[in-house]
Amino acid sequence: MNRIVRWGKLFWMFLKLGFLSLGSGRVIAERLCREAVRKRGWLTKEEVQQLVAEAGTVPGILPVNVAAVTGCRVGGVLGALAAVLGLAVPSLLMVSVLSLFISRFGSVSWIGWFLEGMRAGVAVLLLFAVFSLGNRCDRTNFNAIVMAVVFVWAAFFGGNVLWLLLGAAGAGILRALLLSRRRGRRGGAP
Amino acid sequence: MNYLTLFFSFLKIGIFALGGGYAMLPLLQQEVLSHGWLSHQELINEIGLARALPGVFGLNLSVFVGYGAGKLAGALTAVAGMLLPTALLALALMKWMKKSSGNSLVRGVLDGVKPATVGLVAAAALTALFSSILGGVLPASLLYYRQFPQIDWRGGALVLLVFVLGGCRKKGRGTIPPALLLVLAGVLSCLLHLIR
Repeated sequence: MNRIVRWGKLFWMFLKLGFLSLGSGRVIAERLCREAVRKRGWLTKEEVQQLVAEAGTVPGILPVNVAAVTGCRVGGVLGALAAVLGLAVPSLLMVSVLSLFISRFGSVSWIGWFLEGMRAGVAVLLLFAVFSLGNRCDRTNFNAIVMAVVFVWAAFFGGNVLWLLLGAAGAGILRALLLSRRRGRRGGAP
Repeated sequence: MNYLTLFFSFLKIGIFALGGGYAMLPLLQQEVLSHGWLSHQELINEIGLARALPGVFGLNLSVFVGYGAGKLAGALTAVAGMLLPTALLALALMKWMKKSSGNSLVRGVLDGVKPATVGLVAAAALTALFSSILGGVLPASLLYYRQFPQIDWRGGALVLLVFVLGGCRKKGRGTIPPALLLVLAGVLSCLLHLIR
């Protein structure tokens, strides 16, 4: 009984966060962690910081990962399921309603104009995203070459995104191996 | 419309989304366009709407795309593909990473994928910019153009205005949040249409 109440609480908390949160994944993740710390006492502050940092390095959407891990720690695998579902329900509701609305009223002229402006906004936001993602990379020759090759290949020669990503991962592994061998030859000094 | 294809597409997208919501866009765009679920213009519309709505950007966007591909069932399929396996993978990986933190192989993969993501998002940004300014000419087809394509002055002005708006910082308050920026861009576009 106690566990079912817990799962319900998890679901409710992430449902609320899904409806109310506006902002990037990192902002949402930190906010939901704060709630888990202050209101419920499920986690400690140190745990939260470690969690957000860790969740950023595994694949997937950051808030979803954080929800999964928080839920798992509080209520086991089913707790993780409850948290993730809670996070997903608001998106499902809002977006489905909006899709219905757009398919019905999409031909109204000012909505078309509004969407046109939004497309320009998205283009600019993508440009900003390039800057902020790029700033998170170290300034090494390897990074610069990978960025340039991938960009030109994808933009002008229609490269397959999946293969480009896998190729870059392979290059990263190769580089790590070469670096560790060179370090080994020099005698351990990094 | 095959729901299994939709599910596996989003599974792929979820697994390769490393480093924030925008990182999953290039693969999403490729999947959506190659299967013909949406046109490029529709996709950019929905990216904007997903960003402006409250909630998790990646989830909003997958619901939009799934809904466009196969109504409500499509939306559920897309979200399931995006969520469940990725969440499980995250749980498993984080348990495992703790034991092998500093594993050079994992670090190598991450070090290679991170700059590649920057290049891919840059390519997506260029395509989106061209679709606003040059009326939907793809960068790849620009190589085969004899003369420069016609510039859409309204789109160009909009992009410039939004860029300046988004780039300027208020003292101590940081930049304008993306959702507000998108709404402002929409209103500006309406005004530009009314002026003409």
